[in-house]
Amino acid sequence: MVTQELTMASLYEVQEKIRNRELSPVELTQQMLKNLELSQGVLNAMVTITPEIALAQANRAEQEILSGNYRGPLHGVPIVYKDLYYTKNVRTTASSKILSDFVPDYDATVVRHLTDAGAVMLGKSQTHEFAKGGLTDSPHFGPCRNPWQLDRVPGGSSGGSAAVVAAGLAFMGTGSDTAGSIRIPAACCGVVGLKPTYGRVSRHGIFPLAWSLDHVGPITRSVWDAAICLGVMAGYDSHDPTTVTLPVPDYTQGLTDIDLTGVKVGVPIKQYFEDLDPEIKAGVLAAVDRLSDLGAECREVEIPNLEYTLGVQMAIGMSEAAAIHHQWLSERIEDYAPDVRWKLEAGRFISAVDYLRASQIRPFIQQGFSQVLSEVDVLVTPTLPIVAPFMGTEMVSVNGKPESVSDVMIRFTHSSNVTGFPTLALPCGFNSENLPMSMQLIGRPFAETDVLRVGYAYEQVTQWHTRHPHWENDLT
Amino acid sequence: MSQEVDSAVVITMDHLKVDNPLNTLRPEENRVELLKVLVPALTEIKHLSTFNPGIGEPHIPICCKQEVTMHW
Repeated sequence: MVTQELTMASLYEVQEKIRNRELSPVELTQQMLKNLELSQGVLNAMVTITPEIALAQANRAEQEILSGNYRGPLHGVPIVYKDLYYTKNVRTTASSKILSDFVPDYDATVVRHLTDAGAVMLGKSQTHEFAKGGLTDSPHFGPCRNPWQLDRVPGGSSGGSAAVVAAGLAFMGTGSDTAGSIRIPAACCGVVGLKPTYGRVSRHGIFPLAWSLDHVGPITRSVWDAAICLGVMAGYDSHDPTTVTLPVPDYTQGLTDIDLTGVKVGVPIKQYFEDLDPEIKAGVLAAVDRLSDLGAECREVEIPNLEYTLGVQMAIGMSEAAAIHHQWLSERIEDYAPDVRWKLEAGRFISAVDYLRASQIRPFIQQGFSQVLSEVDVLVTPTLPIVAPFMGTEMVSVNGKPESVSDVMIRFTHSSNVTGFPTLALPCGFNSENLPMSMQLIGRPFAETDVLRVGYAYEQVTQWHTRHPHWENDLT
Repeated sequence: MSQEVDSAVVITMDHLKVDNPLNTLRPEENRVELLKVLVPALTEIKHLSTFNPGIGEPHIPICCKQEVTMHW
């Protein structure tokens, strides 16, 4: 029998039961499809649910496992894809009106990797339209809700995947991240989001937002789960020339030891710990203390040239997005959500000089982070300065200062898109309103193992990842 | 905001004025909405002009992959 407790379990626990033939992928998939359908009236986290495909894949997985052909930890495990990921013969809308009938004739490389690993596709999850925003409130498909508090946003742009994973409706959701779109919803929904190093995972077949800032990665309920998923998703792809030929390591190696003796942790106090919610500040600093307790050597650091990262991200991100949408901005301007329209149109007024100047400064920012990361192994920062905001909010007050929601959401996340460095967001507590708080671990290029190791150790001595929202109480 | 940043933003804003030939197709209400997004972004972007990498430095990377691999 598939219990509610089991659907909320980690991928680690579920894959063990499937491998040991204690759990039927078909029964698991049937239950999760049922839950997902039920959840739509509450969370609205999905654009498309694909029961026929899910059951066919689950049946196939079950037959293979019963005949001794076990493919690995994702075999028979139900997951969802952000609706930017191309799925052959399944519509891929980007939560937009413009692509509402678009049916790709091929799978994204990552979809192919995950399918080959035996993962079961439950469907396509909501995104902020074309991934251009942090709220996941598409006017075309309706707003997605945060399972912790239904009048709050799930974050974005990968809000549907984060909401689904937090709500126990899938064991992994894929995301994409151009200024924080994996980590922001992971933070808002109290789950784990991993933005890998630029070049580590192929973007082929994933609708772009800004090609030199776009990353793709997993959203899961635990660090181990993220490590497993990254191992399947990563690798060189001739269809994405930015991918590297470095071998893909076993990212779970090292996720057994919680002793952090010898690990150096940098904390940029002056740059990341002012002008944020005091409860989040206290939560992240308490997490730093836990890392010290585990043996890590924690010290304050300062990152050179950090004040230029937002200008660089905006000049490059807005220009590349405007270039991608150039034709539709001329021909179908009225079909965009208003906020997405203004952001894309604004990109047309960034000059070539500004874009190239940002490209010129970008390596200096990378060097600044590299310099600090030559002295420490990982950096710890808050993921967001605030908890998930209420739906429909345009401005928030952070320590008494008014700030637009769209600016505040990317404040601590966008620099990792400018550098391309790997960054893990994971829960580090709950505030007084029982809303999740999150911290980021930033590592050296291609050192995902470092951020995963530190995140795993922290997770083992805390219980945040075992708390789950009870959205089902709102079913009518 | 420095004077240099300020004037750069003003110049760009001038292009969006209703009577500017470059902007003849844009209704006034749309211009207002656009400016709400554009002004803060341009202010941040124009701040980049205060960065001084040194004369002639650096050579601009040719493509994304080189940009990533060359500078790490």
